Amino acid sequence: MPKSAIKLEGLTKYYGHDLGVADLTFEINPGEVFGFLGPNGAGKTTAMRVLVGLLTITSGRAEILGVDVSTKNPEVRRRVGYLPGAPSLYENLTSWEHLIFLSRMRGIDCTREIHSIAERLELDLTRHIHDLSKGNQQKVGVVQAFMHQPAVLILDEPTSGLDPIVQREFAVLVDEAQARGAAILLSSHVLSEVEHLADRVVIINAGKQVLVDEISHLKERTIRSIDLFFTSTVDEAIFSGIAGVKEVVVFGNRVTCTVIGAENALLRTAVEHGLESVQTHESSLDDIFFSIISGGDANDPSTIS
Amino acid sequence: MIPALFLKTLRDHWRGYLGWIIGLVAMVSILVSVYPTVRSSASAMSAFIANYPEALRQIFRINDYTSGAGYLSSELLSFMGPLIFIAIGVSWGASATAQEEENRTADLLLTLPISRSRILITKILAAILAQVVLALTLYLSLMVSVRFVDLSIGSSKIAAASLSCALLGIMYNAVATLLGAAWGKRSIALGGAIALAVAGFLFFSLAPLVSTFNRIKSVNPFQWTLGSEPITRGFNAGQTGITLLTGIVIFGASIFLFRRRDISA
Repeated sequence: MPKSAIKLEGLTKYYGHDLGVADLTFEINPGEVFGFLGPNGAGKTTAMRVLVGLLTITSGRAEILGVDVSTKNPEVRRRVGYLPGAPSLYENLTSWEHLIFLSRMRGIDCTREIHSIAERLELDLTRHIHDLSKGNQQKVGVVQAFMHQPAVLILDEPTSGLDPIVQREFAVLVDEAQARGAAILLSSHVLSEVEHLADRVVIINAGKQVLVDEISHLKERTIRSIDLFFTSTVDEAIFSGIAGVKEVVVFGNRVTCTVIGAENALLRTAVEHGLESVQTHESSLDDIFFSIISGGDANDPSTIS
Repeated sequence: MIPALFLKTLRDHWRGYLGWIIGLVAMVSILVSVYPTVRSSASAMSAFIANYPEALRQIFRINDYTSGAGYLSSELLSFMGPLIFIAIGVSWGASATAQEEENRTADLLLTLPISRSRILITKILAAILAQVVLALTLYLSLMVSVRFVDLSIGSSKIAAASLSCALLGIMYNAVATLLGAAWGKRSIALGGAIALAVAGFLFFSLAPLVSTFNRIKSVNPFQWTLGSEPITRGFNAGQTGITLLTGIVIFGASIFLFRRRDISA
């Protein structure tokens, strides 16, 4: 049994002269949820399609469960669940017919899993695909990815189109798969979608790998802007010297600032001075890219006063 | 061969296919049932046809209406019959992989634990079965018809004619499959195969008139199948062999190319 479930070594894909992804190198261990982040068009889908064998590799190497994907060995895909971005399904089938077709193609009986996952996601199996909303089609996609209890899950924007309640159930599915030792790669262009699920993330931009890091570290490196509302006017001076806090501006009883890393020191001080409410503005991925790519403050907390 | 995919491929096409089958049976019934009338006025008809321009008679293989074989050859087996076989062959070929790619259902189909070769072979076998069933339909409807109307054609010649139509359908199915497997575009598969079929038909029809076309007729699938005039001369093993062999080569090339294709989002 190889140590890593998914392994990329310098994976590079060109479409003719156009770059898909360049030199991606990371490993995902069994039992790990790995977030794949980047703006639209960064190359996440390209990398995932290489892993499931839809695209050929230009150079470098990609392995799933120790099997080189360029060997086109279909056997390894028995243990892989793949959810394409905005999956396209056979419109003339019902959800049930579609899922049974896919499980027959896999040569296994997934009846029980299909029913149980569909029920959890509140998917009506009797309706035709062409009558389903995008969100419900996404659910069919989720069921087919999970139904055979794969050891590796490759999920391209899995929660897009799902309502918040279904997203929560999806998170439980991911947790369960993780608990039985599956390696899960899930992509998103929104950090908040993966930060609760993933242990580690890779961020790519314009086809190139920007960083691989644990979610907890990434959050420490993320600049967030915070609005604090106090019961009375406060003095700017009370915030000086708190680690990671910058750009403090006071407007009477309202204070705005940016914070990097842990917020507890800031909040403790604020509570002591009559904090009424807090508003946090998550920084977007673009902000993280910017702070990381520009090699600015976010990379090195020690430069922050 | 993957049974689930084989059955699904048949199911995806059955509506349109059934329409063609009914159309073919209707066409055969009507053509054969009016034959006694045609034959009784055959001499007048012959004079009439003799006034047709030579080119027109050649293109549509309009020949002797006084014999059953000549009549069927002109009215059914030179154009309308093969057209149905080719239409079905091309449409099944274009949907084999190109339609799956364009509809993006290929994303799920090709990431199953099944090689692309097996998937394409299954679709090819389904298309061949469609041609065989169509040929059987043509054969049986002709056999039933000749019980009521005497065409003076033996069953082996009817079988040979039906088979040659199926071979032609399989040839252009292979061409559409190849174009689809190479480019992943339904329009290219359909358009390319139809263009080649039209070119093949015109070259075949005009070969007696245009010496250039006559010289290259040995590479024309129409020549291999209809050219040996199976309804009058019966089964031609050599020509059938060439057609089958070429079909196998084109299907093989389709699989070869499809295995290497990038299936882009």
